[in-house]
Amino acid sequence: MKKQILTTSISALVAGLAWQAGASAQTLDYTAMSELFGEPVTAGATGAPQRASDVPATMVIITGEDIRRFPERDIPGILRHYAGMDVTRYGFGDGQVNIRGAATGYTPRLLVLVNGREVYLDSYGYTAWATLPVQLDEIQQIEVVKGAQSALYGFNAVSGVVNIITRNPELGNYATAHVDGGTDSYTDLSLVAAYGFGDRASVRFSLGSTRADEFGGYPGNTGAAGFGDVEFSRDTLALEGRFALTNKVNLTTEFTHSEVNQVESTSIALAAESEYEITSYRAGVEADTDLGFLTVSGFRNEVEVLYSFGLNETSLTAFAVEDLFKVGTRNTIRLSAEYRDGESNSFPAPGNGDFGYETLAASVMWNRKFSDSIELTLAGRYDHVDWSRDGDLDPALYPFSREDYDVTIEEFSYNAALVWRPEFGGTMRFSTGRGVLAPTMFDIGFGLPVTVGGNTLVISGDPNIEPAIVTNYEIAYDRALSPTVDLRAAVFYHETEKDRGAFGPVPDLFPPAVNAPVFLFGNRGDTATTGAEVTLDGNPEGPWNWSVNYTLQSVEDDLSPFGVNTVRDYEGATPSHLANARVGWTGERFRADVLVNYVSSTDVPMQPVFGAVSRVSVDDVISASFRGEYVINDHLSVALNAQNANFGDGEQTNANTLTESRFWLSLRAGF
Amino acid sequence: MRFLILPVLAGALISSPVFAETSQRDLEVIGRALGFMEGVSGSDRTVAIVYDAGSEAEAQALAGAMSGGLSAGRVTLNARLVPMADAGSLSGAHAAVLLGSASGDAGVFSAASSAGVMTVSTDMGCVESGQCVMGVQSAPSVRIVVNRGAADASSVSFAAAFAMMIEEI
Repeated sequence: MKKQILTTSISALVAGLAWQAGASAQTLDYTAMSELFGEPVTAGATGAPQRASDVPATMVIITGEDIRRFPERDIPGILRHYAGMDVTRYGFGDGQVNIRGAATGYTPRLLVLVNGREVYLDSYGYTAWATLPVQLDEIQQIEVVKGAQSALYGFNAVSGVVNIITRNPELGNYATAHVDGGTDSYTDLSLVAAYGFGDRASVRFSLGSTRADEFGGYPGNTGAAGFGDVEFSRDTLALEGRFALTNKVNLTTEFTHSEVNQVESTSIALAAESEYEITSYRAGVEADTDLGFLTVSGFRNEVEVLYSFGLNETSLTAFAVEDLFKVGTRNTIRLSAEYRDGESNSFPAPGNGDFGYETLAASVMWNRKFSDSIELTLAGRYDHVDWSRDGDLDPALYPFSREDYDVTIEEFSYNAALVWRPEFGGTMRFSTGRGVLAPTMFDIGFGLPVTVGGNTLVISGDPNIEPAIVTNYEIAYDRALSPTVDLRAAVFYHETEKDRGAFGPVPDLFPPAVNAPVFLFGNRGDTATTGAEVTLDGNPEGPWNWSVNYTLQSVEDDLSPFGVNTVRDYEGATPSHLANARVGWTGERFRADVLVNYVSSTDVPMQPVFGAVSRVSVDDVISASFRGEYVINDHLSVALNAQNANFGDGEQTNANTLTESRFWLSLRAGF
Repeated sequence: MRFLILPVLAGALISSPVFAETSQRDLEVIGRALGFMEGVSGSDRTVAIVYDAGSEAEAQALAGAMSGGLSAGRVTLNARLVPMADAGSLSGAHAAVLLGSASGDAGVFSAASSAGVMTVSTDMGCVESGQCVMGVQSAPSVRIVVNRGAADASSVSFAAAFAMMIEEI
């Protein structure tokens, strides 16, 4: 058997990946692999371990070493420095991230994973980045896969995937602590540690606590007044255990908890303050067998969010089984099946009955190396989703009965990519994907009566809403221009049909068809982004290194009228030009980095109070940041950070808040 | 006469095997790759350097590079010089780096494989012909090729993720 089917595999859904013989178990040693091949490695593109130069997608791998040189305090801050990343900072903690288009409030188009566990919120499919139970000090690498990836990852992976991987405690003990203090009452404490108990067990412990003054409100937005008095708070805890049950079988378990209070922008551009409390459990067993590498994994996310419009309590329980194996010497196959159960309380108004969905999904990925220069990857996935509601809604208010919520959605998604290494050098990638942006809890089950001017109006989810379908085409080219300069470039076309969500200030249904005017979460039309991105990285001999990148984006909307039935305006809200530059210097004891970002002008939606929708012009924004670090000894260092140093008391980057300069001193100890 | 000799010399040069010298960077790649061999515990790896008369200087240089132990990732390499004629004494080594005409020699591979020793060469022709388990190239980019038939014959296997990231033939 072993001659036909190599007993190999790997799971992207469970944190422990590749296989270092001699380690207590078979976990992917990113450091050892990267040193061997002289480039980053990943399992994030196909689920199989690959060298960065081999992946069949436009991808960025940000290593832990890179992360520690940014004058940034969270992941959106780091991502904004890379090509193709749209990042909008709506508050001190609310940085929204998108790829191939504007990062609107509650951006629901990106799949974000921490060690394979989904961390986007099932309520609306967005990521509240501050709630991630991860400290920057413990990140092994961040993998960003651009474009629709639903066939490999499932729903939400329509503009891309951000996979955050923490350092594996099996591969060595470590402990890092830092204390930050800075302007605007900023304090940040972080402690991460990993310890192995013999060859068979290891644990990772992570603790973080942050406090800061929120950014002040944009003066033109009356709904954001007083935000400067809000205290941002973040407390996170993570505890992970890894156990080698045998030399071929691994068990991973993880518990996390986070509590966050922050200012943010909602999906309909309302400025808001929200409180999050999130607990998660994850477990996975990986077994290297003659039938391939089998993974059985599961996780449960329990989420409580106190929005300005009500308390939302959701849970997501997911199980997956997959097998990754090699057939012959040139074929790698991944088979997987998944079950998900998502539940929500009657939200925001109580008494309408809890609701939720069940999903069954199956997928297959096939990678074929036709020759040393040509490689093909094909992947397909089928999803079957059943929605239901437990209670009856008030027919005097809502247009839907309990039975209307018995909805089934079936969708197919695919990815296809050809990697070609031409004789003239470099690597070309031709890729396409069909992604499915499934309706969320808000889209289906939201229910809230509101009183305006003595009249009762209703905001309602729509069980008849359809999934948005994203089709993505990319051609990318990477090559080393010289031994010290690398080029990465891509052109892309990214189309969304039946974009969903975001109702406007005018109701969608009126009496007598309904008893009260109703705003519906519905499909709002199509939008497409065409563009290109290019990155040059320089690592010459000596102390200097540098990087520059540029992204061009052109958006064409065919949406419901802005300010009538929707607050969506991707054409206006997407910057046409993004550019970033970084210069770094590394001495024996001193390290310095200077970074500059440029975001071209935009026209973004604003809704200070419900119903008052307008556009606000945001001029071109140039920000300059720097970081200087002095290494005191092998264990201690001190760093001065200046984030957006030229912004002063506030630069307008969105319609809710003014982004402020922040300065802080960081003392770090590592063992 | 000169017109006759030159083509003969040229033909001789063309037909003679051309062996790329094994650099220290190649050696480090080989060492790191050894870290992904299954069934080997501990961090010390004994690397036999099998050489012919024409590659003795190269062998001595590699042994010198490993003098006192060469650290390569999670393993430490220690050299053992083995003349090609003594290939039968490879037992106990974890890997054999084949130099000169030892690379591609059926007798050397037979002796190594029967002793369960992983044979490796920077001459890709060796692995392509099945006379080596592994071929390694460290420049301009790292390339690792494993001949699965040769690996099976030598009772050598590699960690699963490693096998997925290299070329197998």
